Amino acid sequence: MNYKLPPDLSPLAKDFEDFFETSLCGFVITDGEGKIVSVNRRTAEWLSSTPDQFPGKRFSDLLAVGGRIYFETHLWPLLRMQGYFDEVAVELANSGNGKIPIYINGYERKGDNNQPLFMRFTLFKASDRRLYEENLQIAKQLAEARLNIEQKNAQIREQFIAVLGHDLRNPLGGIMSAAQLLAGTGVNEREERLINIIQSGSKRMYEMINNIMDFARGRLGGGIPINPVVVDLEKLLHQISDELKVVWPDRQIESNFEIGETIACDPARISQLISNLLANAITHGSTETPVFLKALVNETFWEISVINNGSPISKEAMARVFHPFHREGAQSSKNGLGLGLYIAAEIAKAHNGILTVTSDDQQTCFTFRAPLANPDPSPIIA
Amino acid sequence: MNVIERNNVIVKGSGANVMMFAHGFGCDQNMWRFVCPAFEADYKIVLFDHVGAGSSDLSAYSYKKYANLDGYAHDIIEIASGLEVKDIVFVGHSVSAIMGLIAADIAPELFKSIILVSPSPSYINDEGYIGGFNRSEIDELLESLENNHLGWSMAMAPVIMGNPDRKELGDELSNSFCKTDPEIAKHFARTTFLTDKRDILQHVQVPSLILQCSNDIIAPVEVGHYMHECMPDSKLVIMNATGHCPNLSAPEETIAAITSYLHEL
Repeated sequence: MNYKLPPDLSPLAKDFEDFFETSLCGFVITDGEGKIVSVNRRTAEWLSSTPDQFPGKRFSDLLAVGGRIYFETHLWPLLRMQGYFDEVAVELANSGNGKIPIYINGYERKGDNNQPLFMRFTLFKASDRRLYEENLQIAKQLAEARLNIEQKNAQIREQFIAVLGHDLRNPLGGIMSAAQLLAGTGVNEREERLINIIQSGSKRMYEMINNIMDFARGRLGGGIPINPVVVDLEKLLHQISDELKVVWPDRQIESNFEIGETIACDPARISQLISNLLANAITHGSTETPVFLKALVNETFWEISVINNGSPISKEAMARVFHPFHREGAQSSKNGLGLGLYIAAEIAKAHNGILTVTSDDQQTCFTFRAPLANPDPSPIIA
Repeated sequence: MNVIERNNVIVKGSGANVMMFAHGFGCDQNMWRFVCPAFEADYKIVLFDHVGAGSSDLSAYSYKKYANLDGYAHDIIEIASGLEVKDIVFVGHSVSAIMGLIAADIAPELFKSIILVSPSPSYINDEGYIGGFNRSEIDELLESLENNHLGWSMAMAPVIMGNPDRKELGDELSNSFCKTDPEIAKHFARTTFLTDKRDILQHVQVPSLILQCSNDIIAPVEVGHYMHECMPDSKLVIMNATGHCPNLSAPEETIAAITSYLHEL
């Protein structure tokens, strides 16, 4: 099979032998069982050989050992089951040029009886593409390694926050008890005022620390733990709104409850959630109109909404409203850290529920909704 | 998830006796498509995918459990128990043939006979044993897989996952019969090609048929002879078929060899 270029080859000449032999890709034809019938000159060149050296061998003999095994275990079966395969990377056997990376496509030509007549393979040299893929792979590995380090760092920071919060609580507890004791010892007006400052300051600080610890719990993957019990939701909601009315005596909270079923929830956490929403509504909403507290419990879900009038939440702020450390505007909010809504959303999540918000010129409405089948009677720590 | 879902077990055919087909490294249960219909009239056919292959539950893949063939052998026993079948004619291709022998070693009462298609107890040459490869060649295979030098581009890997219904394979799922998650494929290759189970051959109590192709680079003819000599109640048939998958390249010859052996039993 010593192939010589035809002397009078015009660009459009239908010389298929020339096309077969001198194409820029390799061609290999095997019989129905994979035994080579013909390889073109290009393929033979890549293997530092001549086309007449190959008939009778198996296709896999052209490949380096990895590709040989891969071909027999993956590609040959695929050719028989699917009739073709596309774009598979393998390496040619090393014939002194190194193992040349190639891509192969293969297809099976079937006869009338549906039996394979022969197989055709097209081979593309792919050294540069392989290099490119290797670079991509290295970049991916590097990115993954960096991400891994960052995640570890973030975890350490959050653990630090959790530990810090926990350790701050003890000395603060001491300050609060001391102030409490002092207050009961017949102090004069000036001292009482100073003790009040200590008490309200340490109370705020205590709340902030609790929020930080809830935040750390949420971030460290454990979520906020809840202990669901069956509660009288109406009573619970009245309690919460009464507490807030004590803090803001000149503001109105109007309630509207349609509670048809008993529910199970963590009362302390739900109080924290609703109290936070009400406090936000009071501080950010219009002072002219009341805040509305609505609750609906039907067979499938329970829902609590807190609604206020006043200027809407800006579009930019909406996107981040449940993110940690988010603050409405630049001013410091009541608890100072911007964790309130993040924690509220985490509490909703712990109840298999969701906290959502809508806001327009008429009103701003935060809604907590959870399925009624929930919660699992055992504490959910997920 | 139960065993049946985990291993994507498919049961078809009728008959009191059970034939279980196990695919080898590189494919899934589809590799039996030309062979198993021939037995559907007389046997209850059990097909499955090894965990990590085909439509098995990839989340059940354990790098610890499947670091050796025993993990797979236990799955085979679990499938048999899950289906409450015994007296099984077990047909295993390549590495699955050895899994069948291990399973029969643990629970011989489940098996009537074992048919080993292109089996090999050890792929690496050793003193007095021809396995077909040097250790360095197997290392080269594992290294090629490790470096993503074989198979499809890494970006294509996720396409094959979670495809519960083979019949509606879209174009985007072409090649999926033989395409596995690259990490799992690497691990399965390591488990398969570094296995040396020559020591169990002499303990096999179940009658067995060894089907050996005449030109198979994965399991050379010498391996068939070696196994036949070691296994007390075995029969060796050297087929005219070439390559590693006679069930795909020569299904008629494979069916005929199995049928005639089952008649002799």
